[in-house]
Amino acid sequence: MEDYQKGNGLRGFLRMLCFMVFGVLTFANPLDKYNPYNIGFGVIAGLFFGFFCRLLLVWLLSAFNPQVKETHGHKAISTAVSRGMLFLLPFAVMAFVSFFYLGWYMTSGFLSAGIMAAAASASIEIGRLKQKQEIKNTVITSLVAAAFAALWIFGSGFLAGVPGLIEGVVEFLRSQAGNLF
Amino acid sequence: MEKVKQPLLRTVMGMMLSPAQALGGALAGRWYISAAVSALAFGLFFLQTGLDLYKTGQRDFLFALLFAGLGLLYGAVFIPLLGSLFWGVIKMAKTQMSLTQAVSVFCLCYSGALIYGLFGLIFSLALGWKTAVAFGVTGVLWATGPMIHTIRRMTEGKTALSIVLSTVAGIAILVSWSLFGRI
Repeated sequence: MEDYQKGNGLRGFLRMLCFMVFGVLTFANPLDKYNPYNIGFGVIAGLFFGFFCRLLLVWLLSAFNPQVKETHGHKAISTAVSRGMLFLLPFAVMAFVSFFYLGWYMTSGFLSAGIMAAAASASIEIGRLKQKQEIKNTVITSLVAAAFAALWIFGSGFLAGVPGLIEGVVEFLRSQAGNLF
Repeated sequence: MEKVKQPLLRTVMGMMLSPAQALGGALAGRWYISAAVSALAFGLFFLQTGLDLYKTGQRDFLFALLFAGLGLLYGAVFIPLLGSLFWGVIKMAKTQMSLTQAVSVFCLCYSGALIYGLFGLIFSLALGWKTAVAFGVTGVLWATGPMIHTIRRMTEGKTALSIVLSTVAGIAILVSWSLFGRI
């Protein structure tokens, strides 16, 4: 089991990096790609989203696979989900190349496909631990992935104006501070 | 890899929904059928690209048909070539798979792209939607998951290598498609 958990730190870092990339690319302004407010908000949104997505996957897979927890310990399911989420990497890299090289601003498509692949892979990892693949895990992870993909697509549309709003407030406060001193 | 002949439709759906399980019986000996799957997938993808350009008045209808032909050629030649190239790389990781088996499963990774392509074409023709990106690119992206599983299985669990190779494949396809679209 120690071997199975080996590399968890690096996997966690890569997972967070992927969600940060998705967040940054989703909230980036194509006309001002390096705007710090868009980048900052994208990083935070991506991290939040990734945290809750992983949390729900771990929670549901733990609830439906109590025997895995008993046999392999509490961290086994969390590690399985982390291993599955490594599958986000190709999608994050492709989204990055598409955004900066090809000029396509369709990060949600990459995130949706990536999160579905990562979730399916998490269920396969659970299957490896149990030494049999079960359809219930595939269904659970696919449903979670589909729900989070939809949440991202609608949520990002809803929150698209927030970086501009933050920038406006900060600039206003700056100008007020400038008047004071 | 065990050679178990399975119906094409079951293999195509299996590679899309559960690649790890489908891989075991993935038409291992019949590489030409697998090449036909990727040829059709890319033929439909490129046809939708041509149709999108036709709908926006940038190209004529003949271009859409020629572009579909180019897609067929792309799926039948470039994808197996890429599979062969990857087989060369993973041979160093001591894979037990033969070249034809590797090419076969690599082409079958685009089973999802074929399904997306079919749906995309229906929406493009029936509703007049522009579908190349929404269905075509999504289909190609969908191939990444099965490809990681395929390479990981071929290399007996080398996840890092499988992620790197499938990233390279995805980028190569997106960039080349984008370049073809500018012709």
